[in-house]
Amino acid sequence: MRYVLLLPASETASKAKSRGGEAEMHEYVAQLAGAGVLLAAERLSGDADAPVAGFILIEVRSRDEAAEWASRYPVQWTQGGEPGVAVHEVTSISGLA
Amino acid sequence: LTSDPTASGLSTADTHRAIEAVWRIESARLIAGLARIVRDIGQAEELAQDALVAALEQWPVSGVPRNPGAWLMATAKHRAIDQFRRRAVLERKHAELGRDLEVQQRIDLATDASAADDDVGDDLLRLIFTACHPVLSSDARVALTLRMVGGLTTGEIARAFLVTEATVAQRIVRAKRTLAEARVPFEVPAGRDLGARLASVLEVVYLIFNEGYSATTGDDWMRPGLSDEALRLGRMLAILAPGESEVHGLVALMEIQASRVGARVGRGGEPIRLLEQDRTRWDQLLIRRGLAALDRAEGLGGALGPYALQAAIAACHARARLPEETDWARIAALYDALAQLAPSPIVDVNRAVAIGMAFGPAAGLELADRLTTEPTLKQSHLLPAVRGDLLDKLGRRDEAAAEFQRAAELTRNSRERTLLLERALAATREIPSSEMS
Repeated sequence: MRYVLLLPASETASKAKSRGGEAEMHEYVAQLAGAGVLLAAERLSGDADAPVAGFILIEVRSRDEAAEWASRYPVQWTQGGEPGVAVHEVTSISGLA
Repeated sequence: LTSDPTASGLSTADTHRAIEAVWRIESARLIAGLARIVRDIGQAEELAQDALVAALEQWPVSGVPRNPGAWLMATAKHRAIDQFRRRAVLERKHAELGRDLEVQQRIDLATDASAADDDVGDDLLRLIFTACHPVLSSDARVALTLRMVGGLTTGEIARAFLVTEATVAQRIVRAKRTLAEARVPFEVPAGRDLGARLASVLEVVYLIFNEGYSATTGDDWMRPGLSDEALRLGRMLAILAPGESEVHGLVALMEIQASRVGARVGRGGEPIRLLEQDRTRWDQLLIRRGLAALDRAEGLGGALGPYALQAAIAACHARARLPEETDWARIAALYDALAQLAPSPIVDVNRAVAIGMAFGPAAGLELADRLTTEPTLKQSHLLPAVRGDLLDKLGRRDEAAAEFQRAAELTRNSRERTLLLERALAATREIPSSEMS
């Protein structure tokens, strides 16, 4: 099953990026790749006012597994009170037919 | 280390589901790290399972730790130390070896344990190579890999392969015993051994993929869960062994083949042949990933291996927006190369198909006819199905119908049998194959 992790655009994320916090993000994406679950990852915007900063597409065996990966999103890129990583199942067109 | 469960708002059921998800993610790394310490994957799995039981007991009360993998590893290591201690005490009583042995073992364990934390990738590779060791039968390698590396339960493996849970459990127990008795070292092979051992690993991954992609038995044409699992293993391997061209070749092959999953079965579960598939339903993301993996395989230099060659063939189909745009001459050339590198009757049958498409059915049939005496094809539906198709295209319909009939009798897949019988009937009624659904 495919899930998209929508990465929050926020002040914290902008600060993390500007202070050179890329290493934590690279480490996170590397963990997903190393586990064989990463399909794609894209940065969409560095703007704190953007709807999302980017997305990560993963293929895992359950929603719980997707949620577990979402919970491992670098804490330096989020903080309490701001929107967290949103997890959505990706339904294929054939799945809707 | 732990978070407050009430703060997280998780019920016991939620926590158990979270633990299951953590186990899926962490079990292979956990077992691999522990196997490096105790040098026995059976014992490593038992320690990991003990840690899982501890998590099931404690996390519903204490909450899921912020770093659950580290928690599981620390718990399992403590259990390993306890075991070492108990063994040391026993040995001291028997042989009066005294404290020195225990102290030495604890030092060794601590050294190994800290080193293991730094070498998760290497540990995983060791685990994969050990689970796929040639001393084990194919069935045992598949079961052990899915269990140890894939994190599947015995029940899940049994359901995937349509065998009983007891059968799988027995296979795994025997496999672990065989590895222990053969004193198979927990290591990544080097030098001349690497090629053969890597081939064994890739064979296991592709066996799992194929069992999911073209189920050889049962009523279903595909069991996609197994293909997904194989793809995950292949992608892991590509990260762990980035310099191995054939690993990327296998990943490319699986990604491209998996891209067609949504198009190769009709609404009623019937198989749809490659050239009749709706290509708009092919998964373009997987095709792009597959082509990128093929680029990586080719970019490493040297001659392409059997998996990369098969991926290159699959890529020819993937690049064609319409069936008539397929570069059959290139496919035939790639099959020639594959036949030289990894000769097999199955490759020859596929070469006959490609030659038939590139240079006409008569040329394909000439090669296919030469294979009719091949003993290994006698019990396979593949050759009669291909000969039936080529004869049909040449207008030799009675002979085509007989071949399709024979193929239907030989296949073990009920969906495929139905398709072949329909083609036999169509040939008898002189319905051109192009008009069949």
